[in-house]
Amino acid sequence: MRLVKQDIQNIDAYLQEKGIKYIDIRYELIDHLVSEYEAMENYPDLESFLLKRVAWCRKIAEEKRKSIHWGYQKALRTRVFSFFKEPFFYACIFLWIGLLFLIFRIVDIKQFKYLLLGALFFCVAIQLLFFFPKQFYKRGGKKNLLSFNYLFNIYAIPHLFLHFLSIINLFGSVRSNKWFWIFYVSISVIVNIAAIIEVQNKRKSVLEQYDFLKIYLK
Amino acid sequence: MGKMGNSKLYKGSLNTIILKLLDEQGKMYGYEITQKVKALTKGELQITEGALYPALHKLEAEGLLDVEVAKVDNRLRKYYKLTEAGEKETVNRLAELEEFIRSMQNLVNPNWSIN
Repeated sequence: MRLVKQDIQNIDAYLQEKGIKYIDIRYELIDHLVSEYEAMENYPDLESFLLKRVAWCRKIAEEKRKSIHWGYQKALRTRVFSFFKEPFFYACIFLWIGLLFLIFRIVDIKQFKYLLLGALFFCVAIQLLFFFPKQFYKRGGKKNLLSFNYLFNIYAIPHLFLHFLSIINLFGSVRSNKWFWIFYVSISVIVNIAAIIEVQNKRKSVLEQYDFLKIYLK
Repeated sequence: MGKMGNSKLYKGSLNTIILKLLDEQGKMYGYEITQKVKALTKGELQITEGALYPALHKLEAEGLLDVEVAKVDNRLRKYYKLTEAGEKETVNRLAELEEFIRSMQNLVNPNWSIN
């Protein structure tokens, strides 16, 4: 038995009612449920069929959430490692170290540390001031996308470098070691830049997917 | 071995099975894959109950699968296909699986060959 448009809309509404709110998981579940139902020999009542499948749908949605989260973390890791394959990256590192040594000749260790931390805060500030508002407020409807909602999780690890600063400050010997700060801030800046690039790339592809879905779901 | 035991063995190779199917078919959608796997394994691998989609989503998140959405009969259908990285991974995983089968076969029946 072929389900009509109204049946499909009912399935969609049912899944939303049961808490599966994200479009990018729902449309795939709908296709599966409809295909499964249409392939049945003795068609059960649609509602009782859906009632039996709702736990499965929730499980799939939850698993997809995890896949997206860990997929994004992996993408960030891959992006960071990909930097090390670029000759341009080594040129930047060379310039960065040269700049740090130049600055260190002019300022004392305390000022040097603040300058380094300033670079790290600058990276995070760019994310907070520019990329977050742009993603949150420009298009409200994209909040219905699971892949969009988890986009900001990419910033989780890069921001940990900021949170660890308070812990590092508890250790006096590390606190006054310029080599430690050069290493720590350099790594954090690299990871934060990688996160910005990765969020922008993913954002673009997710929005393309969203625009496509929006057209079809009208 | 009973169906339960076989099912566990198949599930360990689910990602490889998916990659191999997509390599052969070009593009497939979720329900189609479940039916194909069910037919190929003569019903011993019942993957409709939750294992297939997480595996597909994981492969997609890892960049091994690409998706294509098409409108079919008043609904959207998500087709999966291999990315370039996915094609390479398929070759590697099949080689690994073949090696594993060969090793297992040497253990249980040294006179048998998969070639």
